[in-house]
Amino acid sequence: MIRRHSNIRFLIFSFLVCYSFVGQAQKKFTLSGQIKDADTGEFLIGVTVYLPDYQQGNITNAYGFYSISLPNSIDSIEVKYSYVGYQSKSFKLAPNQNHTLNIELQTGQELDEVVISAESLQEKLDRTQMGVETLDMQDIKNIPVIFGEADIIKILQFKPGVTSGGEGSSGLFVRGGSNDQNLVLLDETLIYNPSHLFGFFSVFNPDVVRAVDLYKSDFPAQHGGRLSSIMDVKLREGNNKKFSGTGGIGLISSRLTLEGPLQKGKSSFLIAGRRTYFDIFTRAINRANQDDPDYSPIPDYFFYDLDAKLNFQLSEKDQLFVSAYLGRDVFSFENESFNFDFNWGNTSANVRWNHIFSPKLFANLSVFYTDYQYDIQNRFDIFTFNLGSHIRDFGAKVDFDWLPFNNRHLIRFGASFINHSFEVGRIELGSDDNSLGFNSNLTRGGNEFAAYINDEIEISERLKTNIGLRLSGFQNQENVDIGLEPRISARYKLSENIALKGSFARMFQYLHLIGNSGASLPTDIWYPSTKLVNPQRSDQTSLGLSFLLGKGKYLLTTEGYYKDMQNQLDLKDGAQIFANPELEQEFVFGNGWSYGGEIYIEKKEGRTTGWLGYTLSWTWRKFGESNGNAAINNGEPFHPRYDRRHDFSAVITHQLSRKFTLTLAWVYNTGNAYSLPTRIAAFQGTEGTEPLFVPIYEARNTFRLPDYHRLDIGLVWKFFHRWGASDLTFSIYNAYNRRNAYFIFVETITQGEDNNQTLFDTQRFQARQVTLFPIIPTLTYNFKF
Amino acid sequence: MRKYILFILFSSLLILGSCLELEQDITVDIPVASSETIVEFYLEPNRPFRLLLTETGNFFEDPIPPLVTDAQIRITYQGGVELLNLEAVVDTNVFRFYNYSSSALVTFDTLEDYTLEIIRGNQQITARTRFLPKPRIKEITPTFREDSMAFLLTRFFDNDPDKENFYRFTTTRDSLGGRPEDDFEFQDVITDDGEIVVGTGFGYEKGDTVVLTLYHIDEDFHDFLETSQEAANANGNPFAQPAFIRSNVEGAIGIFTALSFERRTFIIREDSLEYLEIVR
Repeated sequence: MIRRHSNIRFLIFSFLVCYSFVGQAQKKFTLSGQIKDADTGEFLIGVTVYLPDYQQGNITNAYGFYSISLPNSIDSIEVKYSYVGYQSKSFKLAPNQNHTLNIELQTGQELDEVVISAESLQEKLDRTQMGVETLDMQDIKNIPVIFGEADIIKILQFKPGVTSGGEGSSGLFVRGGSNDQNLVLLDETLIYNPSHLFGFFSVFNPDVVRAVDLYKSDFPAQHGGRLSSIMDVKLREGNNKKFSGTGGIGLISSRLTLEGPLQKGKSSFLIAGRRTYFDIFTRAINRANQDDPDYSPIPDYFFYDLDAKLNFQLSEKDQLFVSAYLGRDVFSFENESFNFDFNWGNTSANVRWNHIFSPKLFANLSVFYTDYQYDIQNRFDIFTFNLGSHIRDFGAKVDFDWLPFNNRHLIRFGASFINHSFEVGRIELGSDDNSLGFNSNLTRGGNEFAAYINDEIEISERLKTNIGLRLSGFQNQENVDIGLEPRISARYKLSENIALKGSFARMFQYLHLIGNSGASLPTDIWYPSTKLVNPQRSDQTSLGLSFLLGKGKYLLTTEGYYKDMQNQLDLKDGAQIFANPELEQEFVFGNGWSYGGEIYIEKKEGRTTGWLGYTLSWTWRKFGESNGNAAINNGEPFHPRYDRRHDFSAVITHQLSRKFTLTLAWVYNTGNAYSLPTRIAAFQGTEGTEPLFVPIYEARNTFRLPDYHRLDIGLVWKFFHRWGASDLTFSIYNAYNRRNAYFIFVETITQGEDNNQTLFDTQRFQARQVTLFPIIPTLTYNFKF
Repeated sequence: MRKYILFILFSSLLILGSCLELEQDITVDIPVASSETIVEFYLEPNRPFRLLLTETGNFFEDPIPPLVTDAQIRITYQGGVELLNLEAVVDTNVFRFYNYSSSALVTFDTLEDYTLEIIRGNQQITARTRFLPKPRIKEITPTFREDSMAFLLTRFFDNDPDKENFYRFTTTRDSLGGRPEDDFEFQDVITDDGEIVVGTGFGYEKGDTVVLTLYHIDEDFHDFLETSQEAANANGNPFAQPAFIRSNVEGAIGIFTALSFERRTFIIREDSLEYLEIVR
């Protein structure tokens, strides 16, 4: 397996040699501090701190902290702070001592209605980081989405290399990776199931989201544990200047966020809730029809999310954050003799402590808890049948940012530990008269650990590299797996406006999601690596060119990638995953690979902003005979359902006036792959009734749904009040009412329907296409005070 | 349970789709595929050897399977050979049809294998099976609810608790040949002191005549039943992965198995069952 690598020593040696040279640098003074929003007191991420005379700079980290070495000079040095959407600030300093400057930036008077963007296009070009998608908060508010429910995952699906599992889905399939290969972090805490309602909505309340980064390649060494992407969602900290609130009333849900200072300027709270309300209507319909004996009640369904956060400035050098999330989906159905209750959801909590050890050394310590569970309770007359599964993590991690010698190095290092508890499958059978009683619970445990170091090195003005190494591992009883994950990237500026970028990243995934259907269900089970189940591994190589065009107004990015995925896991045909004490016997092991190219052009400033993205890609999976089970698809490679050959998206936002903003979003992609039988067999069985007609498939996923395309239109009408601001957001989903295929199913045509008298009731089979969402206009009211 | 959840999801989407008229017939071009031979052969004690041999048909065309007429069938048992002839036979008890048969009767024997060999031109199809010990039903108990509907709880002995055992449970109303009310196969995972309890749905009333059959089946037949039913279900369900039939027949698709079972026929009375003579 992965336990030994010949290049370990070489890499460690390289690090040591590198620092023995830079360690001899001359002593310099340092400028450091933290940068906040002047209105809310919240830390700003990615603010550029720049020394114009020396063309050196740095950006603030996730906690608004920055550090920059001051050059040796007898003259004072100018320092400039800039952030798109905010007014810049400049200061002059004498570089004869260490300085601490905590800055508050004011929102730009003219720009704030246009865009509040985390970074400029020039900064994006200059970074070594490639394969990352960053969402602006304005994107989240303006881009029309189905039912008017702003959803960060659905907006990420407009980006190249990212696809959804199907229409309206909050699934995330990144560069050929499956939905369980995404590391979804909410304030640095893992969320196992980031969706509600079988994947139609994500768990993130857009009112409390501060920043979203999706890494598709070139993964920071700080993160690991999933093969295909890292989705880093950061919550807002809460306004520590004044009490305020935001909220909205939509077609299917409402939400409210309250925030304010606990101690003005030093501590704050934020609490937010969101709940759907279609259950209120369905209950009313059920009540109105309760006397109708032929009426079948509509099942009850709702979901809710609660986010809470506390933020304390303990001292000039210490900051404490406490954040928590609770989300649940609740589904229930009952009639006279049958009750079915099904609920599932995530719970997470996190305490983080920032400490500035010195102007050059920043540390963050996190202690966290997260769990995901589902629970199904059935009652049939006097009998009960309950099912459940649960994964629970306790963990801690520590991260350091260190500016060791000069502005040419930024070193990040740290370590993490997670204790996992798995209740893989719990089953309880019982009866009120005690005539039946059975309990079974398959449990597993495991410890996941990692340590990493990463150096961002500016070798020259043209060449910048990022060299990282992550050592990860997983222990499960007597079995220990160790993985060494090199993360390397480089940027070479061919000219001021053209940059060549390349990266290589290896990832290991020690937890596996087990599900035997094409749909992503809440009952899919997380299962750890064991002696039999090896960790998944991916190697991704990317190469790209970025061009800054139109005097810096447009950034054109092209990237090609190849991703190899080993130790992929699937289930054998007809696998039994409930109450199966030998679940591992149901697994089939294989590999996968994907490759493709992405073109992306974006514009972030001005009255018209947006992007165009195109992806050409291929994704493959192959599962031969393994683990004593038959091969899938006869051992031949096949495309997973979410394989898309072409994927194009265009998102254009235009500010018509101070009050009106119009957004158009158009997507086109190749239809999902799916399977259809080519032959049919008939078995009369031992009872000799109507035969069982059994389809015979030639191969898996060899057919394609028709091409998918859709136009969405959004219009935001803003109102400015003495108490705050509000807006009416009018959106039209699928504006030209395209009947896109959500799926194709086979209908059995029987004698009654065809009016023929033949030997069997079954006459023939007919393929039918189902469209999920026609044109859907939505009106949402949002407010802020 | 997963099937149930998928069913709810699938049904909800279909209801939504049909309410908004979002469903439509489409034509899909299917590539031409070669036919495969289908074997369905059940050995029953003291019954003649009878086989249904068909081929697969084109999926979107008439589902009545084309019968095979050019095969040579041979059964080997205890060193003897039995040849089956091309002869259409209908078992009127259970409305089953066969196109190959012989007049010799099958012997219940748990010690010797039956071997099947089918020759079709250059194609050779083989399979092997053996009778398992019969299962033993301990008791069948009806439980009534307020509206006089009842379900049946059947308790039986696990055949050999030290081994993996597979069972199939069926009930038919009035006679054996009807559509099964309940029909499911399972492994002896959940046992209670060497006994297994299975229940039906609330599908029975006082006065109903029920034929209840408990089969002790081998893993091959269990897998065939499970995968063929799953494949049939997957036919309509777009969320299910394509399922492939697990056969115990080399060179074709199908099943060759020996049926060991206990069958009870009874009328449901107030708080008990009135047993009738065994049907077969």
